[in-house]
Amino acid sequence: MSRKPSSGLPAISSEDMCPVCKTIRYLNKDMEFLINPECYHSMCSNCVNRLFNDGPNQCPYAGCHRTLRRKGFRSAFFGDLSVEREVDIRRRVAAVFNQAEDDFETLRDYNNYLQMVEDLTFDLVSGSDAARRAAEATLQQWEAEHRADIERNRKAGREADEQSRRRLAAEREAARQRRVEALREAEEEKRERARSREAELDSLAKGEVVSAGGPAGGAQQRVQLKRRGQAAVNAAAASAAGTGAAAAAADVGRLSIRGLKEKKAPAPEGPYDPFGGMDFVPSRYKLHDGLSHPAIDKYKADPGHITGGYNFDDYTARALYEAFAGLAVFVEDEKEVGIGLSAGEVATISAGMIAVGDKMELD
Amino acid sequence: MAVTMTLDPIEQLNEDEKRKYIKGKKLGEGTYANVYLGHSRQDPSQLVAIKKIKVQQQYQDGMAPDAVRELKYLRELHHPNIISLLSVFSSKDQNLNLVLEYLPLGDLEMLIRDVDRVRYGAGDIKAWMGMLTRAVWFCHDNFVLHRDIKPNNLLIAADGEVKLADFGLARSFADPGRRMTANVITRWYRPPELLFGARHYGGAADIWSVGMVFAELIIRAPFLAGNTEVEQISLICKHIGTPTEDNWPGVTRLREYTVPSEVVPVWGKEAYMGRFGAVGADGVDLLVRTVALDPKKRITAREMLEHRWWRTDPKPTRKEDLPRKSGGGAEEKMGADLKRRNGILEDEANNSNSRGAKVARKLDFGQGK
Amino acid sequence: MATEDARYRQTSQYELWSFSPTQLADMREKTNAAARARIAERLSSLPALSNNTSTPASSVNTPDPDGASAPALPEFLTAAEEAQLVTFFTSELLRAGDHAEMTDEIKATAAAFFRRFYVTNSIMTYPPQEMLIVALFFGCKAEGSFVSISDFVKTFGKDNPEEVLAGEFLLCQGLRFAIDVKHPFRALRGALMELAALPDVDRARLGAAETRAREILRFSPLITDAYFHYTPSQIMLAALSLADRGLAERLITETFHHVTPPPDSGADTPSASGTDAPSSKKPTARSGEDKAQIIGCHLRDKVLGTIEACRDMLAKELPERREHWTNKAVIKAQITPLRKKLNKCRDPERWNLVELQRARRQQAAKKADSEDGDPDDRGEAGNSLQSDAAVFGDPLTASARDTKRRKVLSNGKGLDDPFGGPL
Repeated sequence: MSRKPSSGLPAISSEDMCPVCKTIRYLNKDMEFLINPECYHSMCSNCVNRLFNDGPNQCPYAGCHRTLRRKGFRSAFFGDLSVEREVDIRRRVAAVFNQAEDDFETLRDYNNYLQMVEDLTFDLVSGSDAARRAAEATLQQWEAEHRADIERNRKAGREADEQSRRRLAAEREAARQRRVEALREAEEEKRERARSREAELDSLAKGEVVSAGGPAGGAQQRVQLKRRGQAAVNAAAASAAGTGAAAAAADVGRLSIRGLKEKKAPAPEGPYDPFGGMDFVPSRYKLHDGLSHPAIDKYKADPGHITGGYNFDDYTARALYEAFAGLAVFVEDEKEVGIGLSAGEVATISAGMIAVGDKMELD
Repeated sequence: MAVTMTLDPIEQLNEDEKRKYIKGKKLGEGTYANVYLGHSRQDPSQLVAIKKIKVQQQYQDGMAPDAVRELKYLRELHHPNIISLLSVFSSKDQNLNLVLEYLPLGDLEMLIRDVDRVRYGAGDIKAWMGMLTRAVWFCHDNFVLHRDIKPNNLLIAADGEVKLADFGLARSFADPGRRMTANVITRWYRPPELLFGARHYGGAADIWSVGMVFAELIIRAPFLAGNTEVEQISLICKHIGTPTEDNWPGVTRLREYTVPSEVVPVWGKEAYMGRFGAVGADGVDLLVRTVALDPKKRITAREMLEHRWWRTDPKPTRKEDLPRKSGGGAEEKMGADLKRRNGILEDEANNSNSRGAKVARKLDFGQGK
Repeated sequence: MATEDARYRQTSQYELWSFSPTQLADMREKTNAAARARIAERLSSLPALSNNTSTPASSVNTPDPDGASAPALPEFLTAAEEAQLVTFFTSELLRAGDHAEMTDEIKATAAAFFRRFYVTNSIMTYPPQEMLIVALFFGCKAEGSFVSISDFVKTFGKDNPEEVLAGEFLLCQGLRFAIDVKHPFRALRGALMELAALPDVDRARLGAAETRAREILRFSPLITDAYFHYTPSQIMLAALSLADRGLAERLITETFHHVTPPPDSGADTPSASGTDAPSSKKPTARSGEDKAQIIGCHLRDKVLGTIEACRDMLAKELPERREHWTNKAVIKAQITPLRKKLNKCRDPERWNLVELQRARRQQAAKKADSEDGDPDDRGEAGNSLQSDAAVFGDPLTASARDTKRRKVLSNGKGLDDPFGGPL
């Protein structure tokens, strides 16, 4: 990939002189250089403090009229400031365009998306002024529009990172265990061999025949098998982890990213219904305090009922419900028409005799 | 001479029902029943759990009460937050088989206890409590007491929905005058009226259990965990307040009323804010109402659903976004995760190494330009 | 549609155990025919009746003067005769329940169980005397009262816990595992509460009506097919109507005048004809709630008609008829001959419940490929399997089955009457 070098900013890490105050390292051993992402001009920390502690000021570099603030200064990570600048830009872009491969239907879609992002980035990094401004605007606009999605993706990403970190830790732990195990087994082996040799010598002394290799060989073999088995298990585990997730890609046209999987956007929720749509409201009667029955009333004064928290209103509600539930359910009509017991079921029940051959006589 | 065997029509119906499902591996084994994974014959992607109730050696009197109750109530209660009974059939050896919906993500207890790997916040608690409350409300609206509400009996479906299960102790509301047993509900979740032996009670008993679950969700440990009934009572007295004739008229005359001699006055809402404040003032208000000592003063399920807590921020988390148990499911997720996620850069707070490493990776376009 | 009705339609009682009269008659007919055919088969394949080559189908219901021992088959009960016997035994069931001082709900549930069981099973197949005890036992459980079997049978002065237990699962299966029966007793209370809240009703009148209605509910719907064709609400109103027609009609008119529209829309209620806007002027009477909707007359009339029909059904078996069903002369004339007939045409294989259950358990145990690998299950051997056929059992060869079956029967118990002579 060829690209004309950007603004030709000088590398400073080896530079021993601050271009602003001309102090040389000899005079200030721990001189530290800071840059401001506004213009990537570097100067020593003394200058930064001197010039900007009392408020915003103009960048001291000749020809650079940018207003800088103390806050913006930080030390550069890369020696080559053009790289530093590019990295910053990429970071900003990635924070906004943070879709994952999973979010796309096909790999092609995803690749197209990546292409789009890279084009945008290029414009930002090394495009002409006009291109840069346009790209900047695009970026802002995109961010404003997709704030929620971005947030979500970021969270998911963090989670994923945590998972993988944990996974790695687990694997490292497992590896450590294996090493310990292996060491131990090696020890065992040695001891076994020593022991069996002793045994051999003993038996020779007694005059018995001993098969060569014998228990020691067996133990060794077992250890080998175990190790190999373990290795195989690990390999299986590792490959299982690597199985591909659903690949995805985005067909990138302008700002619209095509091929994104249908994210079920939460349907515009209506007023919150605490009962989830399942509330039962009587239609034929109303519950009110005047409803009573002598047989029930006599229990209302019973301390056992009162203290235990027995609820008489529940009983009333139930009695009324049962009095009216099914009042206009016309069984004959509805069953003939087929609501309820299906015609098939009726037929089956009625059919009765079903020869099932030799199946299940006493079932 | 060979004779064709025939089935009674009812046996045939049973056979048809049984044939609808194919039984697979055993998921769990208990003294009461074995549970098998299964699937619908017609649609193998529809998974079910087949609960085969064992013949009980201890119970010599035919079908066990739990089986009868589960059968009776699960069959009549249809609600998204109550486990669905899809079918019932008998196996050859005359055992009852309940075909239930398959709830693969364990139960709420697992999530609560896995403090290290499962994190959840106020929005999640609100979502779960919403589901539980609706389930209990629906039971009560249909005049059924569950009588064994605890996190262990709140199972989680694949889509995150929480479902109330295990109706082995359930029963219909009693008519006035009819006595019920006080020996129900697992001790830690049992309300004071039952601990004191009340024979006439109502939905308020379930509400107390709901309150205990609520507390447990917040502090991630059982709130009142007594080893005996007496200890349970004393914990209630200590953390909620001693039941007295002042705050609960008539309580001293309940058959098994006994409290520690030191009388603790009922704590006010402020006292709970310290420990349970994570759910906000409204949440604490709701919690306090569920643990009112006098069952008559305790909030009802309907009132719970009408409480303002559900409408304040944070909103209840959408069920798809609720935390899930780590372990089995997490493995597949991790596998998928390792594949994606190379675009996200951490905040500057992270160490520079990871920052640089990720950027470097992104810069590497194999195909690209 | 009304919210109450919608909820009722979700019950297992409505879904599985409500039929039109035609459907019910049909089912009984088919059950009867099926039983006859099967019993004929089994009877003719018994070793005792050896060289009988007449095919089962043709000898169905051939009247045979000699009875069972001859090569020809016995006379089978007709569906009508079966129904008669079921009714008789239901009455016996209720009497037994009264004797044991069970609650109204338990007795009613047991009676419902009993009648349901004999819709899809024939009375020739399974012994009604045993099944009614089983129904009472299981009815207790279904209503939340779990008694020990030994205490239970003692109440009836019997000593046969095994028999009752043997029939329990069979009954449950015969009920298609729908064991929640909805009754009209509480509904009656509700109706009385509503009536009592009306301004101009005489309390004494209410009390008398309730007593009589309750008495009816304890007997009439259970002895007839009312539970299959009407909802508890309708049954209750029919009984109330029989007790005091005026009150029942008052209640219905009040109800269909005073219908609060469901919260979402007024369009749901079947108020086809002229509905007042909910926000119309407040009515002067009563409590200022909105009596906005006036149901179309046709629905109210339909309800009235249904209740009237139910009333007629109940009227055929008013509580006074209890006496009829225990009257020795009546029994001797109508019931005993049927029972004699029943004895001869019983299903030799199923009649003895204890043996039946034992045989089934044995067979299940012997199957090499059982459904699951639970050594805990009584008598089950085998390990867990994945394949479909293996899971639900390969078809055993017919001959193997036959041998087992004959072993069961050759016990000698199958044919003889283990219950002694007829009552």
